[in-house]
Amino acid sequence: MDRFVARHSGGITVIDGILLGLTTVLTLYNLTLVLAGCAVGTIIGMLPGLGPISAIALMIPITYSFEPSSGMILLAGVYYGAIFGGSTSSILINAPGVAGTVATSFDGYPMASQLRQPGRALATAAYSSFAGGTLAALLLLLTAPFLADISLSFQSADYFLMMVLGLSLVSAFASEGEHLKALIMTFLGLALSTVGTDLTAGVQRFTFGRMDLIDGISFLLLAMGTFALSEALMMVLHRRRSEAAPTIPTSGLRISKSDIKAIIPTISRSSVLGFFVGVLPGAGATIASFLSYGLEKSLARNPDPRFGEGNIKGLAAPEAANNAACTGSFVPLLTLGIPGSGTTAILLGALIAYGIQPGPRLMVDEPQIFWSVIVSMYIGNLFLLALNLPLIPYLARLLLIPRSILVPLIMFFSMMGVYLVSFNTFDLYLIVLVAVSALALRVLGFPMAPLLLGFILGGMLEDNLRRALTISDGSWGFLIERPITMVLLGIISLTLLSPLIRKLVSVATSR
Amino acid sequence: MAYGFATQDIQLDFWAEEELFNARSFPILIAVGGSLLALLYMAFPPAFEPPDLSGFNLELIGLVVLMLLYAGFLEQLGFIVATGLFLCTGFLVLGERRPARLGLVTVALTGGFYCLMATLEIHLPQGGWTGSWQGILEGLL
Repeated sequence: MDRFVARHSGGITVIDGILLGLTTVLTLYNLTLVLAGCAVGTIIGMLPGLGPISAIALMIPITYSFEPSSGMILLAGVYYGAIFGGSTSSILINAPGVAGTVATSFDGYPMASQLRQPGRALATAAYSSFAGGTLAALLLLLTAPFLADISLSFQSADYFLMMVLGLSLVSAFASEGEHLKALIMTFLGLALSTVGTDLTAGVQRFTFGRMDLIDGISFLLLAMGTFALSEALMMVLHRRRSEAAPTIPTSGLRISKSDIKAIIPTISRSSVLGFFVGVLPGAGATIASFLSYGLEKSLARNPDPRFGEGNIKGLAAPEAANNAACTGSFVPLLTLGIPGSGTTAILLGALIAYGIQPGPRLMVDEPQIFWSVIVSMYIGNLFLLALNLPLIPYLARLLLIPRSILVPLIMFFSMMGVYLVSFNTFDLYLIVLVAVSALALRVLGFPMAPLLLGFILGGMLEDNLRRALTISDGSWGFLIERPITMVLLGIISLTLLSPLIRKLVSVATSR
Repeated sequence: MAYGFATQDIQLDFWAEEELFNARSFPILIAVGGSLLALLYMAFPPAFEPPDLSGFNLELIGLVVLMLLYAGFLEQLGFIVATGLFLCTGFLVLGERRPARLGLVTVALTGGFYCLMATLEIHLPQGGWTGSWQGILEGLL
């Protein structure tokens, strides 16, 4: 045991690592950076169109003058702050700045708008995020040396099936009778992910000879177009419904004891699930939040209000899971050098810019960076709670902005968020096209979240399928070669057939 | 179907044709899966509810046109002018008629965002006309 810990911690034990991390973070300078990162991240993340990717991208140039550990501490704070800020905009105006908070809007927005409980929704999100982040930080501290080994033991076939499972679970998010539409949208997302250059072969696909499409469609563009911008247009289309006066929480920022009692098991389940999903390279906050939402939905019996109509568990689950997954996603980044999401990919770029190569040697060569980032995660969560709960009444005033002002603001931030990433006006035309198409699809009842999930996972799905097929010499037998793949395949089959099974069961019981 | 046909336009190197998994393989799998789902959708169409299009009006069309114009003129007019016009027109299209609110939000947001980006050393478009105006001003001064 001692040897194991020492081998994986670069000659220092976990306790030594924690102490090293605390020594690094608990200086006035680094604590200020954590606070500044959380504050800036929250403000930027709240703005529709600007999520953690944009927030971190904006902050990276500032951190170049810092020590690597201080720079990473600041960026980690920005990451958490932006995720929290994204949740706030998801809840208040149904415009998630990032895919990881899309599931938050499913019940958060109805709770704030239809049930007129924005204070309760925001407080639930804050506490759930804090609890999720705290539990995940503890899990990380306790299990960091072992998690690298677990992640390393996954093979391409397992990754491929894990991703297929994530995609097949979209049927859990679809409402009754809409499963097929959700799957069609997943395939549309997968198809969009193939636009651009195939990096393995260096071949252009579906670019139609346009240089602007060589790098593919940006994730941020698709997220903003299908959520923020199409939501702004939806507000215009459904004019009467959206013009109802919003309720601002002047009191009721605390959640009741019965609420706490209801969400404690949800938060515990979602935090653990979120953390372990976040650890898997390629998974991350989005899948974690969708999986935990799906899990709570399937566990609930006669929920009141129903999921999608402001259920508190439907809000607590994705919030706890996405924050826990953010913590978990640092594991493959720091230990394997593999980014688990778009945001950690940017953080990987930042580490490389500091002259540090993330990977199995990071814990050995740069233990100070590894452990200070881990410790700063917990402190960042504390700061976020202390910072954001008192500010909730002010944040919630966003709902008072009239539609005539809010819609152009969302349009501006969405378009500018996309433009600031590429500085290419082609992306502005493309986001308008995406938003109008998304509006038409939403009007026809097609859900957008599966499209985004398909798009995010498309590239990784293809890479892992290619690797698995190459290893098995072109045989699809890899799907049933090992117990783990067989179990995953079984779960996928059950998930895909679940609407049919449910229908057959209901027909049988009605007879 | 269109996506499936377009997969044949993907240009492969001559050796890639023989590979187990080339640049066309994954798109073909998606095309097959998507086509099967589309067939299923046509075979078992869900109950159709006519969508509520009561809000489909000139406001919506106006906003879409406004966004396209913003995309087209952002770099020519520069961030400040293009964004100011974009926001102001957007507010007007949606029925905002109070000049104080209209002007204040437009100026505060455009100026504030520009200053924030300038502080972060992110250079927003200055506009094609900036140079000539700067030249004229410098000439006058």
